Amino acid sequence: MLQTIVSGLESGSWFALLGLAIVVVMKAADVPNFAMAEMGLVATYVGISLAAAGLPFWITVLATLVVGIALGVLIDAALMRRLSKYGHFPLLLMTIGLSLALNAVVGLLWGHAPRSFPAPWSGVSVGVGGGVSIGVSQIVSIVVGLLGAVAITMFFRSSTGSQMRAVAENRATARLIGVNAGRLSAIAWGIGGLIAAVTVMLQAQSSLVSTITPTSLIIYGFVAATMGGFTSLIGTFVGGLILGVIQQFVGTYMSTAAQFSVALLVVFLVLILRPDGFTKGVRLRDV
Amino acid sequence: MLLEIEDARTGYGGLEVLHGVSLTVDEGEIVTVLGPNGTGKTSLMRLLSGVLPLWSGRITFDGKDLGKAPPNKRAGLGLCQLPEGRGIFQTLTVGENLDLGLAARRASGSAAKADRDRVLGLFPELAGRLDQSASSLSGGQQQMLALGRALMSQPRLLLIDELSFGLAPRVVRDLFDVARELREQGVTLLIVEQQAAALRVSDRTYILRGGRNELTRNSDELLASDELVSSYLR
Repeated sequence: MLQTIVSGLESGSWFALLGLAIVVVMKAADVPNFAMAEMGLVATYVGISLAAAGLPFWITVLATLVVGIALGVLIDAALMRRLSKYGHFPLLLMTIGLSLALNAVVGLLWGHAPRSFPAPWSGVSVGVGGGVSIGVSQIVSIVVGLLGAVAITMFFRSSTGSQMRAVAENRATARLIGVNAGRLSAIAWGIGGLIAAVTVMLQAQSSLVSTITPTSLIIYGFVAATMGGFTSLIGTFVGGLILGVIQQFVGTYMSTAAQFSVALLVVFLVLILRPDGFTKGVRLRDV
Repeated sequence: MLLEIEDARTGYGGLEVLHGVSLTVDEGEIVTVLGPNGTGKTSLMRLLSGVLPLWSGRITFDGKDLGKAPPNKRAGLGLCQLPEGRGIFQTLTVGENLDLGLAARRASGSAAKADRDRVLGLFPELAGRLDQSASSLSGGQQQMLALGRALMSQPRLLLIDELSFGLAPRVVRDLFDVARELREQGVTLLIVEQQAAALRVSDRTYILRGGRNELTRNSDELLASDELVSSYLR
């Protein structure tokens, strides 16, 4: 039971982080990014290769994060900025195309065999009594997820963050008073790439990742973002955690085959019952 | 000459709305543009802020041709707009809204703080409400906030679209007092209005009609002859 909850919170942290990355880009750049999980995969694979080449662990972590940021900023500058004048739909299609393209590139360069990102604590676990033991990598995922959520929330309280919220509320007026929406879009894509890299890296230090990882990760990320109504950071984070726990219980007590359907059922229910996100009206301060 | 518009034409899609408007604003002046609904006053504002493209003619600000500069660039040059309908961000706090005015320029922490204090001195009503949601303010307070935010960006020329929009006459009088105070601080104002009350604070007035210049006078001249104003504003 405890083991199931911890495992649920672990994968829930990944879903929550990816959901937050989606929400950040949605706010500033106004596009649902379907390539988010693939961006994280590319960055993580670069890190895995560097680790295999013998670089120290923390250097490879840093490199992974830098690749994630660079990828985000590059995609924004090279692709999104050019398309933005044509409206939402081409942008959305571009992110879908990009997810397929990045996935194919990873397959070509690194192959389709599952890989892991070995951390110094990988495979180590601590006993918590009653014969239950919890992996250190699980604790790392949960703690990093929590820290990430706090950091993003604090970022949105900063002056750059409040400019982003202004753009999210009314882009035209924000530009009129001097807000540089292009700069904010680059920052948001950079942050999105960073969080995506962290997410996939967390998954890779705990289990295995491969080119099929993003397919489910992106859906769970979008489910989490939907639970936050695509605006609320707290809603997205808590939504991701809840989703992780539900999904883990379904896997343990029903069947792993049902996990995916249950996630989609959650979206279905959220959209019907609370289309603005399930924390809406609880009067948490949305950003 | 701070702002010079020569024979400007613009419109929406294929529809021309301004058929060659000319206008000048000197440093330190308060200029009003009056005209009934649908004469292109708001289009003139949008043209100046860079939302509408200039079809032909010329706009120079501080000697520089504005050309196709995007809105945020123009704000950075000191051509700042108080948008119609105030443009207050309801999901932000009063303080956050105020600080958005800094987006147009680079300001150090202490300079920003000094600006904030100066603006709050002008609008003491806002001082106690910095942490409140902006949506909790009354219409008049939101207009003060919009003015305050514009002042945070240290504008050289402040464009004001309908200062009196939807406000009680008493509040409008207060805001016009603020406008006068601003001039003393060296801010130049271009106010677009439907209400003739704006004449009282301004030096010169342009009356637009049907997207063209109809009349240009010193404001006190217009004030002295009520029928002149009313005949043009009908």
